[in-house]
Amino acid sequence: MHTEAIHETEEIHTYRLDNAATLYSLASSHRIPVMFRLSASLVEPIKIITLQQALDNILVRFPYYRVNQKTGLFWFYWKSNFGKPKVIVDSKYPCKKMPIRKKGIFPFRVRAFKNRIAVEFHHSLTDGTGGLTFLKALIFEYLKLKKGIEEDPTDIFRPEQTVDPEEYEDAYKKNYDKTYPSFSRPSRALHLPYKLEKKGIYNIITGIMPVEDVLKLAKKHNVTLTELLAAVYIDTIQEILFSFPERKRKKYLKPIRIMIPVNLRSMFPSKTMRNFILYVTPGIDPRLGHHSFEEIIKEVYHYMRIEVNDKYINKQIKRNVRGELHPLVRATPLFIKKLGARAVYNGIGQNSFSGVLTNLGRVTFTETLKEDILDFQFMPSPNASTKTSSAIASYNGMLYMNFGRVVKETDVERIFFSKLKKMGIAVKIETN
Amino acid sequence: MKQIKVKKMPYCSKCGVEVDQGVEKCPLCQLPINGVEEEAIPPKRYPDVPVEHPEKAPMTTEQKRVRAWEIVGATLLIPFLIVVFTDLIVNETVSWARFPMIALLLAWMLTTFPLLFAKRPLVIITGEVLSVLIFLVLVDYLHDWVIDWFYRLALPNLAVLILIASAVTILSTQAKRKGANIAAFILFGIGALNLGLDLIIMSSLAETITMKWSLFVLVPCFIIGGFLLYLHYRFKNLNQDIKERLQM
Repeated sequence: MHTEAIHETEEIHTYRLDNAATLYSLASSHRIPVMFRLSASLVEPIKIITLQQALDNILVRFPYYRVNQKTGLFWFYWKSNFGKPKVIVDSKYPCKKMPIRKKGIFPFRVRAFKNRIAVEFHHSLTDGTGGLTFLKALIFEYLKLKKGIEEDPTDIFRPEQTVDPEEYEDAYKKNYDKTYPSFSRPSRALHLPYKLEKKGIYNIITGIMPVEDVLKLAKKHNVTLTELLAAVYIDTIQEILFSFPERKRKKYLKPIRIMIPVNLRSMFPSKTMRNFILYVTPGIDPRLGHHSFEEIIKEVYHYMRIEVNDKYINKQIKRNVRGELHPLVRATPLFIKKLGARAVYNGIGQNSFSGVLTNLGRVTFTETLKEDILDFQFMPSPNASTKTSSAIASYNGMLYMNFGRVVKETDVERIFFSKLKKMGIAVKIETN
Repeated sequence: MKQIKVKKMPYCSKCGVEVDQGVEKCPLCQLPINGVEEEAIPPKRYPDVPVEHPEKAPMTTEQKRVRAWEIVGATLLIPFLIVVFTDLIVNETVSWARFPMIALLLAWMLTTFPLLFAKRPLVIITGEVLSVLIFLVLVDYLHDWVIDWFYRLALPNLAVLILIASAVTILSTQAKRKGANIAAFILFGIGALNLGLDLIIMSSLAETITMKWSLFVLVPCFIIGGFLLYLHYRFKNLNQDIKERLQM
């Protein structure tokens, strides 16, 4: 990391993007904005001035987010940005593309609407874990300023804390082992043939359900909550596929896979606040015929037991990092890399799955803070390949499942939630 | 014991999902919701309009034109410099390069006027005509350092072209009903232009005003043009008739 002192207290930092961030930055476009969002609704309406103050205060604790992306000769890189990000009003359509390489622009935006605080992150900056840490720190600082909360929770980043150098680390490179065999590319998966809406339109459907009920159902099937919902998702896409007329169905008869990001911090200990996720893609092959729900559950269960494993994940790390470290790739000027980036992004990712299901897990706050926070939601990035993607977070006994789609058709959400309802889960729906 | 009255949420009878009070249609299947309270207003969860990060304002049409002019200029400058330096390196002087140089200059001038004076047609026409005139003078002069054929050939031909183009434009724009008559005017223009070119070229070569090859262009142009005019003014609903008969 290169540093250069320009001020008594502030230093310019420049550092390289992590492995995932490089690809996200190269592939980012209006159709693939690679923006995800975390939001929390508070009991009381948001006071913008206080929120702005809270944001200004906590930024010093997140120097790696206080950046602007720059274009180098061979790679993009981050450079310290000492401007102040402004809190802006929320939008009808969230997660729209950000011009992150425009001078002075931060790769995240803080939004407020009524009683809700939302932060939208460009994925090249961080992943869900980093985003969650940031939003929790922002909410705590906001409530501290507004209500004078005295407590000092240990799991929330505070402005006065020292930044751990490990928070900057590129954990992919740290765990890269060149002796590992590379990950083989999966075949193309089914993409539902819906027509895309105009650029920028992002329709959100939120399903809210008691997390206890979903856990009970998952336990009944002897799987985890994520595995259960992934199986329902696969079953949903299968139902749509089999509802097509025969000729159309034959045309789209390809494997149905759901992309599930895996937080690698649990496998490879790291304090990084940058990206450290990879994904697994459980699924079924409808060319073998219609699968019953029990069969799907079985497929997902066994796949996850095999694939969510440090050795298998390391193969993916090997494939991704090897590409970045290849002398030819390193010597290729950035503008040429940009030309091929979309193909690589689609090739190693988008083409191999039919839907996205990302689970942030259980979001916790102390009892005092819980009284002021109504809900906590996670929203996936718009995805022009899968058309519809989903993100889950659970908070205070409720599970919030956001489906974001870039098409008009609500078939996936309709069938998905109807299936859950038929399984005995009460679902409440909200939309933008 | 105090009994808490639980308010039942409206729900969709098809999907089975609950929705907020006041929501009239199911967000999933668009079916009307059962049990909507008459005056309930659905909670507004997002603003009505998309709000973006404060981004750079989109370029105006004027700015886009200036940008296009810059790009054209920069693009033309590259071959311009290449031919100049190639000639200088090979011949140690600017010899043959002066012709591609003025051709590139003409291309630049022809794009400059419509891009920078888009809303001033008179400036555009004058600019374009002057550009062509300057180009022709330069080609004539740079060839043997004497202006000769420009006055005899280029200037009269260009004058004829401008006159005829203007006449066709005026006739076409003034016509109350446009159709086959426009094609006829263009054909008359082509015929007249060929006649003019023939007369000018022949008078320059043979020093007599005679009509040679242009008759073979003029006659068909006027016959076809006349027929088109007849069709246009005799059968007023010709376009409609053809469409009806062809069921287009």
